[in-house]
Amino acid sequence: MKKKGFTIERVLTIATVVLIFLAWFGLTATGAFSETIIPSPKSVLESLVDVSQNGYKGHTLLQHLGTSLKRLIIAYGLVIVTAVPLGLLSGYNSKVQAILDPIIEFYRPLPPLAYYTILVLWMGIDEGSKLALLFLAGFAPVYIACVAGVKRIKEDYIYGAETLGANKWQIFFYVIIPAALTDVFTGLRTALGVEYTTLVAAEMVAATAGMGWLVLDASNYLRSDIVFMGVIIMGITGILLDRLIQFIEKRIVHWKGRT
Amino acid sequence: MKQNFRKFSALFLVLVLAVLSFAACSGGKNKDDNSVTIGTLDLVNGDLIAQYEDWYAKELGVDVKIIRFDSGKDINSAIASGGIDIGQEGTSPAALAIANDIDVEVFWVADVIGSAETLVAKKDSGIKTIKDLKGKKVATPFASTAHYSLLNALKQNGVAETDVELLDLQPDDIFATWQRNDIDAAYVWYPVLDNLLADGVVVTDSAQLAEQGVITADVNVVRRAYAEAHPEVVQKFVELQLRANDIINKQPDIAAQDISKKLEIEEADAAKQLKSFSYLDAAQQIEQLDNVFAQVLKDTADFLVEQKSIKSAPDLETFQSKVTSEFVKAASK
Amino acid sequence: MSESWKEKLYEPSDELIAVENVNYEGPEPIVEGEGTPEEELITIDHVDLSYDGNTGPIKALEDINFNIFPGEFICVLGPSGCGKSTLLKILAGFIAPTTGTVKLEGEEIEGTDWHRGVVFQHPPLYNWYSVRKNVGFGPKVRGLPKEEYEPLVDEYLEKVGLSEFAEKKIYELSGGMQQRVSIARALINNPEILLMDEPFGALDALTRESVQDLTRKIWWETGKTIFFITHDVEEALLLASRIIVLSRHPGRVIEDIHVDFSRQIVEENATDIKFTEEFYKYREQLLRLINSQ
Repeated sequence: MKKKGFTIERVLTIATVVLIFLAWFGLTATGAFSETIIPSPKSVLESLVDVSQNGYKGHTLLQHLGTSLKRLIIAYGLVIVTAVPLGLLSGYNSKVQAILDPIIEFYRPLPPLAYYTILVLWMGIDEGSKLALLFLAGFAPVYIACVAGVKRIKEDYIYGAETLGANKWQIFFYVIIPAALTDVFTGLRTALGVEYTTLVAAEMVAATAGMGWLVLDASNYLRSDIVFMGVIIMGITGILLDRLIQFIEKRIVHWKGRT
Repeated sequence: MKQNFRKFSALFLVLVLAVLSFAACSGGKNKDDNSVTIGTLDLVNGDLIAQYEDWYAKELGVDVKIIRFDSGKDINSAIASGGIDIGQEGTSPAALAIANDIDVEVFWVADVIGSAETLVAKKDSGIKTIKDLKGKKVATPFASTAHYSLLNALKQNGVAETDVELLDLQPDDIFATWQRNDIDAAYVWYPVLDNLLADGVVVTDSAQLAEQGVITADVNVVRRAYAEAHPEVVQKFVELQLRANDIINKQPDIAAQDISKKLEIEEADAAKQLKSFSYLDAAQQIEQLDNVFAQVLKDTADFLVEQKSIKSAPDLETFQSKVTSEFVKAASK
Repeated sequence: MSESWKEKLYEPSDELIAVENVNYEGPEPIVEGEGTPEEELITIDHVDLSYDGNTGPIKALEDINFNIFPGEFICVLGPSGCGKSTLLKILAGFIAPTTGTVKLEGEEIEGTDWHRGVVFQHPPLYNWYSVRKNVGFGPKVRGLPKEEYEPLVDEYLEKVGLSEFAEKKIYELSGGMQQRVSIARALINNPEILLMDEPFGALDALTRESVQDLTRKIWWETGKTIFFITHDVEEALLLASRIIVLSRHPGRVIEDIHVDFSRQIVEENATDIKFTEEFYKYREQLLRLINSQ
């Protein structure tokens, strides 16, 4: 499967992207749709140039992107240092799971906007509530993936370690954690996607910068060209961040797919 | 492999065509369609009375569907997509719609905003005038008429926007942050306004700003295609609004009763809110639509350009062509 | 350890299996090995094991009684589903018998510990470690200082013929090599007994033969007691000093014999022993015994 160059799959991928672009060009060139409904590639490009040169409402494009990425990365870091250990522990110890599961099961299906106002009430309109929202959005998928990852470990792995003389904690650190890593990374990738989708919601309240806010504010004024630009930038950075995690995963979980 | 590829391309083509035709179809309803879809914000004006009395369903003579929206921005999107035929929104969204070439006509002034939208400051914030806002946190829902009024108030008092920390908050969030003392002032409307007034002081309101020429109002817009196909429906709609305004102006008790029931609020609150707007009769409507509102919308759009919220505003003639008194004239004959 | 255990293994010399045993239904299983209590490494006393099935409890093992003596290479043979792996799990301490006791040197087995090393059919080796770290895992978690166990790791890697592969990752090894790592990993702890659960069942014939030779050699050289589960009669005959046959459902001991092909192979270098008539006879009769179940 590891053919280099032009496999049929690669051709299909490129063809799909090209076709979408052609359809976009074609549709807007007919003039059947107003700029508000589908802005032309040209005006999106122009708004990109304009916003990167002159900024959007007091901040440069990089500042908007940086603000969002900063929020995302801080919240993501918090998720990693909390959800991963708690999820792994929860999978390993049924008592820990009995404590944590009801909380997570309850809030997980709630739409973030449903409890955002409460977060704002508790934590104010500054970064705190935004980070909390992103954190909560990312926590559940990572936690759940970690629990599942531990549960999926073949019991022989644990028996094996026991018969070699390992105690519970040694098994947890030397066996459970590495054995669950593949699932942990799956959870981390899911969480990044979820946090990204929550970003717009998080920047709905009292934000003055950020890609989510930029898109929202532009949509307030029917600036579809800027909305398109913002969405495309968010899409591309999302793909890049996902690739980054995949890259890190390959480095750490070097045995993935080779067992 | 080649055959597979051909199959796949065929499939892809079908998919693209399907998406395109879907996009084309959703662009508007059939012209012969004998119905009207009305978008409402449940603002305190004749629209609520007409809804409460069920006039639309009874008297418009076509199938009526009423959809409630949360903001003028959503009304604009719904109109642009052909999802609704008639909608009500503030002058800011209406100006935006025209500036963005959404094919609408402004045909009715539902209310002119007075003290209904007010700039309130926390009692202990030390803010007494607009100049005191410097360095303070002021919240308002962006792209609303209140936002427009606030920015104009700052401008008229020589306060640079950058000297004030402006926050984009929806009314519910304004109340939440107000209670937490996260903000010092807010330009907002009822019912949240009531809550803020409990421990706030009035800095200015839209009535005062209107005297200085910054007029904000709520207007009704209609999709031009719909207006052309069903002028009688639009005319009848205006008749109902005129009747409602008549009740508001001449029998305010009944109006307050209707509105309080419709919104499930206290009658006294409804009465108070009704007083915070002004409602125009037929003659005033014609006068305002013919001579004032194109300019109001043009001013609003120009201001948004100044704010760099929109790229450019069309000229006054365009606005004039999008504001019409013909339905009011026909209805009041 | 003295060499005396080797002689003891083969006395008294066994007769061929009695043909009457083929349709064995008698209540008393044959129990071999009548040593004095001091000599017994493991005693298995009236062990029953039931588990909950859909329609009430299902008996997997019934009245298992036998002792294991130091230095024995016991192969447990039986049709699939006879509970032979279950028996190994009880010895390992993964599960407890429903009734009866299992004792190691007079002390009841409760849970797992490193005195009983286990080699699994699918070696649960740790992909995140190198071969060296996998082998050194036991001493490491037992708290031995690194400078003490590193030479041991080299020694055991050499024993299983993997010295050159010490720094490789597990997934870079073939199945046979992985099983060798698994054996080294279990042996390095110097356990009292090595429990092997159909360890070579998943390997191809050639690889299997070479790891069988390796296992036999290690057994003979170290005198380690080995408890080996297999469904392969030939494998049992080629490795064991003693073969125990379990019946199908519930598993009961229906045969317990001493064999010495394994000794002949190492001592007399009798590499083609499996073509001898004696070997053939044993093979046929064990096969008939198993197939009659």
